This record gives sequence, structure tokens and C-alpha cells, in this order.
Amino acid sequence: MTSAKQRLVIVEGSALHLGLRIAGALAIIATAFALPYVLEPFRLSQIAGACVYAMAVVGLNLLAGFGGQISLGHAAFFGLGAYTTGVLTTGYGVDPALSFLVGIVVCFAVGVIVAFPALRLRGIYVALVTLAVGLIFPTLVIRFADLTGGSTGLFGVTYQPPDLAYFSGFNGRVYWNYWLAVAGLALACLVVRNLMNGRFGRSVIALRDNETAAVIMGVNRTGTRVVVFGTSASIAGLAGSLFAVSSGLLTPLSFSLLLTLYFLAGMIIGGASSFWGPVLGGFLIYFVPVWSAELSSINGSQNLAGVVFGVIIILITFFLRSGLAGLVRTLLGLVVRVEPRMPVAVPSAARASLSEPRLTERHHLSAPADDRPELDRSGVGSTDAARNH
Amino acid sequence: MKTRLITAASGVALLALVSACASPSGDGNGSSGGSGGGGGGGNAAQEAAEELGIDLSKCPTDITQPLTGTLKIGTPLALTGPAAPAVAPLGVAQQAAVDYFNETADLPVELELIVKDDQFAPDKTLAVAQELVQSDEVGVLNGVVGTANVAAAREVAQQYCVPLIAATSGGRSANDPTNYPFTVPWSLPSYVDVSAWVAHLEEDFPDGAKVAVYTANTESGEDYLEAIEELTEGTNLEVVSETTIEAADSAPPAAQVTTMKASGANVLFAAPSPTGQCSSLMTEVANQGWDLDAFMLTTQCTVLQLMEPAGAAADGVFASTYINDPALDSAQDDEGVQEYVAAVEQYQPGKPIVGSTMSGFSEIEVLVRAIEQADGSPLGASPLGILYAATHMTFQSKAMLPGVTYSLNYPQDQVAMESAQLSQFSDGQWEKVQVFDFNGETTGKASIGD
Repeated sequence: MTSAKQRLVIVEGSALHLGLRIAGALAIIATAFALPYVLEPFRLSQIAGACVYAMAVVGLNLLAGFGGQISLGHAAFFGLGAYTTGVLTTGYGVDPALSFLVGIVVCFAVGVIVAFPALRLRGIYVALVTLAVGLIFPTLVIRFADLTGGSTGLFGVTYQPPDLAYFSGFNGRVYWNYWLAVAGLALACLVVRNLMNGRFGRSVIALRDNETAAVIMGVNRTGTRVVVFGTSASIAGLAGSLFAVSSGLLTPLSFSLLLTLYFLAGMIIGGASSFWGPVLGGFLIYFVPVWSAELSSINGSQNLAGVVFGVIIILITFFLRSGLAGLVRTLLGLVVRVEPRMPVAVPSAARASLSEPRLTERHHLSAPADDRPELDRSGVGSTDAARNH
Repeated sequence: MKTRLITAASGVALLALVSACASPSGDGNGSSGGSGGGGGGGNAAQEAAEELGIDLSKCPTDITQPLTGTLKIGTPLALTGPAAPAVAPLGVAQQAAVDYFNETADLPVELELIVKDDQFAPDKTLAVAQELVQSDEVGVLNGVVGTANVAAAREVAQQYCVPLIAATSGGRSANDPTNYPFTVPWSLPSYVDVSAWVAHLEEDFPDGAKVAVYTANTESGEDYLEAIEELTEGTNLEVVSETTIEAADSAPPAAQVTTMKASGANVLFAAPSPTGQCSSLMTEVANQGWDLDAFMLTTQCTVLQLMEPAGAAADGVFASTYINDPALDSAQDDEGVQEYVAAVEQYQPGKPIVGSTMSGFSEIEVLVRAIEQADGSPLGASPLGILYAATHMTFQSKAMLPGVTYSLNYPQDQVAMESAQLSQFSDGQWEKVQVFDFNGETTGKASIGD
């Protein structure tokens, strides 16, 4: 076993740490840029599809992973975004980019509406509220056939690429859809990361881990949950909009409860409450059926995708509680260790004068002075909590 | 803050790179690869393309050059998922047919079939069709099943100028040769199916009848409903009740049958989802003691595996068929069917032979006949020649019932299957009643065209 001394130790925030993070970001950008040159167009379409699924899983992870509220209705938000774009572009000639924005707003609004009854519920009861949304959506699509195309579906949803040489070739639309999906995924990741790396993120995690304590400490439960629900739904909605323009056709069956279960599986397999896990999970739930379909033939095994999914979930449940992201973190931890930056020392006199009145103000009614919890004023503890997720 | 700035800068740099670079495919002029429009048939090719509404210059490859060597045939098909038990046997039959025709037919090319799983999901059909065309380089798509699936695959066929021959859908929206000239559907259209019902009932009920309509909430069900409303208008058949059922609903349709029975209808037009709802409807009608004068069922329910679970409740039901079912007693003496069954047993030993086996076999046969016809034409066996032949061809497969033909002559005749054998179910078998032929009458009604 590798000892701690043999591992490369990097101090958080150091030049080396920053350099490695920049190198990682550049590697991802370079890969994204190189893929259109090395992959066949249909593979690029698959990557775009995987990015769209990953977006939806990133959105779900915000609600279910960080927020601890299981949603069984995310396929409905995904579908709502898709149909908003589909109906607006094919029926009313609206610019697709504008339809994306409308989709985001509509999904945020519906997410907020769903959030209110779910505010005072936890666990399985939230799941049941969202399950209703997931079950109703395909039926509504069929019922409003004049608008949505009903069971037959909605065809011809496209987003023409801009007039650039890069997108002018025969496969220009493939490249355009690919970049839309990559940009959408990057945007979703940034939104979730920015939300969670701060006071709001700590509120979300506090509500998840101990709701009563969080509320007592002053966390705005209603506001936090509503924003999380709405943001999660709008990310799923944007993913749906991108799905609409990349697939070109929408049918109600594409947004069944099964899709939500796929998203949940992706979140668990990738690693709930992590930033990179949902991206890995999203790619996995897209490509496992693709790979297993390639193994299936008229003379071969049937339904390998289901078997592979089942086995992966069982294995991860037993051996890899933190998912693929946790596995990657563990493997990286064997060779490199990131040490937290040491807090800047504050003169004891200044510390006393600054903090003592606040402590008294907040806790004088709740407990005798000797029983007061020792507050961590350095902020290191809370940073670690966020980092661990 | 630093990280955010770096991320933003990276994004801007990326956009600048994308804007500055040439297309990854290296074909900035809007088409790639092929010459588009030149080739094999010269003026004949140009005229044929114009007749079909094809702009050869937009095709990525030259589709006028006769094919040589191996012709890869691609089929997206549900090999997994809920629809697989019903649909996957088509692929088995297609493979047997490819092997059979490679040996027995005089073709200028060797056929090779590639079947890939689409799980019956239209978006996956699209992805699979793209993979088949781009990666496997199939020259022809064949036998995609389902209206929405055909609608997905035809986008690929259209973009890459790859003929989609014998697309299996009876839906009107799937048959749109004006906008999708590369897609040639077959299968009995719902419009023709309903036409046979109405024609039969007008003969049997000269004094009129009250009709109850029961359809699944699917694209097929909606197609049937539209056809029923159109075809009963102006006749002495009065629609007195319309009920629907969700495609995934597996419970007996007690409420719907009660409603329809209470309407006073004495005739039932039914187009349920073929996955389990055919027998449950027949059983429920019998259980409620609804004494119908005529029970007309969609052609999608006619395979024996779907009828048998209803037992005696299925007796007396009418339905139209066009392909022979090898499980029927009447098919046991049919030389054509037995020849094809023997081929499936020879090339796919151990695989079950079911009602849809002959359909899969015939899908390939349509393509084979088109290749043969194209080979003897000025266009030659080029993709354009094969497409032109498939849209200007009349033939009867050995798997088809007598009196039923595949007949197309674009643009005047855009519906391949316009004749149907109306039969009545009795003691576990279909007994032939009458052949209805609407040849030349349903273009623009069973298809989107003039």
C-alpha cells in the first residue's frame, strides 16, 4: 500500500494546484475540440446525446444528490423543455435559442409549483409527489394532440447552425448539435458548482443532513428548496430542449417514467452529491444501452442493457457507495493528496472582540454558556464539507 | 475568482477557435464526397430523379452508379425491450430471406443484412439509422417498423440519399413521397383496412348500422379514428360512440365496453394496441354479453398468437389480412408459404416461425424484386435505380394472400398495399370472406400526396 509520504502533496490554492486545475480544464476543452476531427459524425451525435443525458443527471443531482429530495418526475421536466422547444419552433416559428430560454423559464416555474407541496415532505413522500408529475406528463402530451402531435409525435424540430465555415459542411448540423450539447453541459455544471460552492450550497446540504437544525440555525427552508427545485427542473428542461433539436422528433414515450429511473441510475452510478459523478453517470446511462445493443443481434443475447445496468447498480451499491466519482477520487488519492490551505492566523484580541458579541446574541436564549457549541470561525470546516461532496 | 476568469477566457477562446476553423468534415461547400448527379444512367437518371422529386446535387454520394460486390442492408429493429417479442422475429425472417435470395435469385450484388437494436424508441431508431449509414455504410435501409420509427429513419434516408425500402407502417403520415422520396412504405394502411370494413358492412347492412369505435391512444389508433370518421361520412353507418384506451393499459376495457354497449351500437370498429389489448377487448365484449352484429378488428391483431388467448370470444370477428400466416391450417398446403418456411428453417434453424415471419421475409423480397427490376432497366441496380423500381413495380409475393398485390406507380399511385383479404375468425382459424381491391383509389388518402 502506498504510504502518505510517497504521495504527491499539493496545497490547495498553491500555484501547482492551480496549474493542475487549469491543465485539466484545458485537456477537457482540447478533447471537446478534437472529437469532431477524430470521430465519425454518428459517434459525435452519440456524444451529444450523452451530454444531454448528463445535463439532466446534473440537474437531478442538484435536487436529489445535494438536496436529498428524490424526484421521480425529472423525465417530465426534460420532456417539458423538449416539447416547449418543439412546439414553439415547429408550430410558431420561434427562434430555437429563444425557445430554450422559454423552456428554462417554464420548467423553473413548474418546478417551483411542484416544490411547494413537496416543501414539508421528505424522502419517499417527495418522490410520490414528483411521480405524479412524471406519470401525468406523457398523458397530457397525448391529450393535447393538436399542439404536441399526440401519440404520433412532433417531427422536424431543428436548429440551423450559424453561417460559419466550421458548420457549413454536409455534417454541419451534427457539429452544431454537438457544440450546443457540450455548451449546455458546461453551463449546467457551472451553475450547479457555483450554487453549491457557497453559503447557498451549505444551506442545501444542511437542510438535507438535518433539516430541523438547519432551520433553527436560520436557513431559509422555503427559499432554498424552491430555488433548488426550480433550478434542477430548468436544467432538465434545457437538456430536453437540446434533446429536441438533436433528435428532431418527439414522442410521449420518449419521456416515460423509465427515463427518470435512468437518470436516477446515472446519478447513483456516477456518484450522488458530487460534481463530476453525474457527468460520468450521464455518459454511462447513454452508452451502456448503445454498447449492449451492439452486442445484441437477432441471433444473440436479448436485453443485455437491463442486465448490465442491474449488475452495475448492485456492484456499486455494495462496493462503491460514492459511485464512479468516488472511485476516481480514491484512485487519485493513492498518488496525490490535496491539503487544505491553512487559515490565516487572526490575533487573539481581535478575534475575541469580533466574535464574542455575535455568539452571545445568537445563543444566549438557547443554552448555558458552558454548553455552547464551539464555532469554527476559520471557515475550514465548512469548506471541507463542501469539498467532500 | 481566478478559476472563473480562466473558465470564461477558455470559453471565449474556444468560440473563437470554432469560428475560425474550417468544417471538420473538410467540405465547406455544403456537400461531401460524391459527385452527385453525374454517373450511370445519364439523362435517364436525371429524369428519374426529377420524377421522384430528388435533387441529385444534394446527395453526398453518387446514387446513379450501379452497385457491385456486396450491398449492405441496414435494419433498425427492436431486439430488446417490451416490443422485442413481437418485432424481433422480423429480423430473423429478414436474415433467412437474405440467405435464401442470395442463393436463389439472380442478383448483381451479394446481399448482407445488418440488424441493430433500436428498442422501438424513435430517437434510438434515428441514432441506429445514422450508425448504419455512416459507420456500417449500408446502401439500403429496409423494414423499419412503426410510424414514428419510420418517421425517424426517413430523416437519415433523406439526408444521405439512402433508399428506405419496405418501411413497415400503415400510418398515413409515414407515406409522404413528396417530402421524403427516399422512403417507400408498405404494409396495409389503416385507411385501406377501414375501407374494407365499410365496404363489407354497406353490403351486409343496407338499412344501416350503428357503429361504436374503440381505438388505442397511439399514432396508429388516431390514424384509424381519422379514417373511420372520413369513410363513414355520407354512408348509412352512423358512429354513435367513440372510446379510447391508453397503449400501455393492460386491464380489461370494462368501462369502454360498457359505454359502447350502452350507446346502442350493433357494430364495433376496433383498433386497439396489438400488444395484449386485442384479446382482452374480445373477451370483455363476450363477458358483458354484448351481442354484436359485426365486430371489425384491425389487421394488426390478426396473427394467431394475438387471437388465440380470446378463445371462443374471438369467433365471428372480422379482420383484413394481406400476408399469409404460416400457423394457419390453410397455409399448410400453400406451396409458396411452405417454400419460405423451409428457407427460414434452413437458414435460421431452431428459430420460432410465427405470424410475422412471412412479413419479415416479404420485406426483403420487395427489395430483391426492386433490384431485379432495376438491373434490367436503363438506370441499372444503382441506389436510384432500386428506388425507382421499388416505386414503379407490381408483384405478388409468395407470402401474400391471393388477390393481394404490391403495386406502386409514383406519383399517380403512392400506396403499395391497396387490396385486402377480409376474413372471419372461426374455431381458431381465419376463414376468407372477400377480397377488396382499392387499387389506385387511396393515393392522397392513405398517403400525404395529391
